[in-house]
Amino acid sequence: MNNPQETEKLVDELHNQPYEPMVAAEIWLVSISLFTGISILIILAFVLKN
Amino acid sequence: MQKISFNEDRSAVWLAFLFIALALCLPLGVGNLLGWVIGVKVWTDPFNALAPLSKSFSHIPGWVSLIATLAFIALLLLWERRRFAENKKAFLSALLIVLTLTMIGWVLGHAGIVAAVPNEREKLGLKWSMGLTGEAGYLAALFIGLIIGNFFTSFAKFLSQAARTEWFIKTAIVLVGAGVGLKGLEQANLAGTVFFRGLAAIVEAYLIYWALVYLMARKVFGFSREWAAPLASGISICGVSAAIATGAAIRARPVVPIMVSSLVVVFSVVELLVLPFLAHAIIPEEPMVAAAWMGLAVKTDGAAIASGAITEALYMAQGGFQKGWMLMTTTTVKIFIDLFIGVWCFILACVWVYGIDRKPGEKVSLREVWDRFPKFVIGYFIAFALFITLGLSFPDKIKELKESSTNLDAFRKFFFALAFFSIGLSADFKRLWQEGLGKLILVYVVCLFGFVIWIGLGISWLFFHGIMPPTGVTP
Repeated sequence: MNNPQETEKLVDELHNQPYEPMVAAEIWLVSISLFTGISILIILAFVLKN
Repeated sequence: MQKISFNEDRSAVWLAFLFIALALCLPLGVGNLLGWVIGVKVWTDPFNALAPLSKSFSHIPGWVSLIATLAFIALLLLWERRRFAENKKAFLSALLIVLTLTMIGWVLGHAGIVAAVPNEREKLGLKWSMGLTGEAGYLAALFIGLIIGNFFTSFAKFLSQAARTEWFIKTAIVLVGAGVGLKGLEQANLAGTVFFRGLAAIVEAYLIYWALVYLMARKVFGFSREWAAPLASGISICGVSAAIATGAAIRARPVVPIMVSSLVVVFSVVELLVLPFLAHAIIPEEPMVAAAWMGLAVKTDGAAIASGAITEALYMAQGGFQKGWMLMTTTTVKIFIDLFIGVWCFILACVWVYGIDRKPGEKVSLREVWDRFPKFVIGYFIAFALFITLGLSFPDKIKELKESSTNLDAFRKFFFALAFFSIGLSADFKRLWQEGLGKLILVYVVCLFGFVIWIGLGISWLFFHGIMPPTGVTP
């Protein structure tokens, strides 16, 4: 059933997302992901070019 | 005595495996036990919309197959919840209504005027259509749930006992594993160049796209983790399945990935209508780059494959290429994206259990990790591994396995539709769309058109430029 309080909470969240600093695990996930992705990209670009 | 509560996670896995066991009776030679299940086609005449999935059951009228399918699902769900429903008759009544209304939404979403993509219009005799693909059925189910939730509140309260969003979502995700396992195996037999380059392109897409969109959503737009993760998966990976699977893996409230998914379905139409023509205009000499780009950039399966078909038609008109190669490239890239959803959910579930949900200084034992870990992700992998292993071990049974997978796919789609209906019932989506969607749209537009499609073009260019489809008459 439609829950007005839950909806209110969601709308409020979308307007004013509670400040949630990035924790170490998130920073690691994003950094490792980007580092691995860009490294593979460079290696594959080199391999495919030769 | 401790009261045992209903575990949706575990129940979803068992339910999905029951469907899988029944589907596998076909390759095992027992018979096509699910071939009678209803299949919904894109239609212009509603009487032609419904037919049993298997041709061997084509003598059964569509409406009989429909009733049998709804009754079958209702009985299975009732059996699963038999110990937890306070009033079984009321639960069964509510369940039957939920199933029926969702099916109505699913069928309405397949109306040609809504669902037909541009390359289907001629076959269906349509001059114009919205091009939302059959996935518009999700939006129609959501819309029906929304009407009931907002205007018939006491009826919605009655239905809510059977509208179990997470249960439906998790069951569907395990079934996704079975489908992509077999599709992955089929792609492995393709031309080596397309296979290798497609695989490399996908690894890149996951590692770069997801991280960038997540970073943007968190740092620039200030979204919480619960919103940022499904948003990153929805925008960067593969729309509906990815957003919902990610949301469930990090234990987000179901309304979060459903909102993201509804946005993805709407935006995929924009991509479908723009990108094939843009590709043809800016890279007229690179058909394979354009095809891979469609797989990487267009977010829902239906829209991506339709984009591949439109792209192929545009390039075929100029080049005399053999038919099928560009579409195969788009499909391969898209299927690889689907294959990796499970891997990515597994990684995210581990990061969330170990690194994010854990309190500072808290030691998490292996037992706790197991308890907190979403079991449906494991169910997904088992289903995936089972279909791949069967396909590799019994290559002569691929046709039957494919039919089993098609049968399971019908349940997967319907369970996703049930989740959309349930969310419509439980949330004031109208208010959420009016007041909250602006910010989500902004993130979507900035990320998708700001860098996702351009990085996708760059990756496609890197892996596919200079490769041409064979020329000549299609053999």
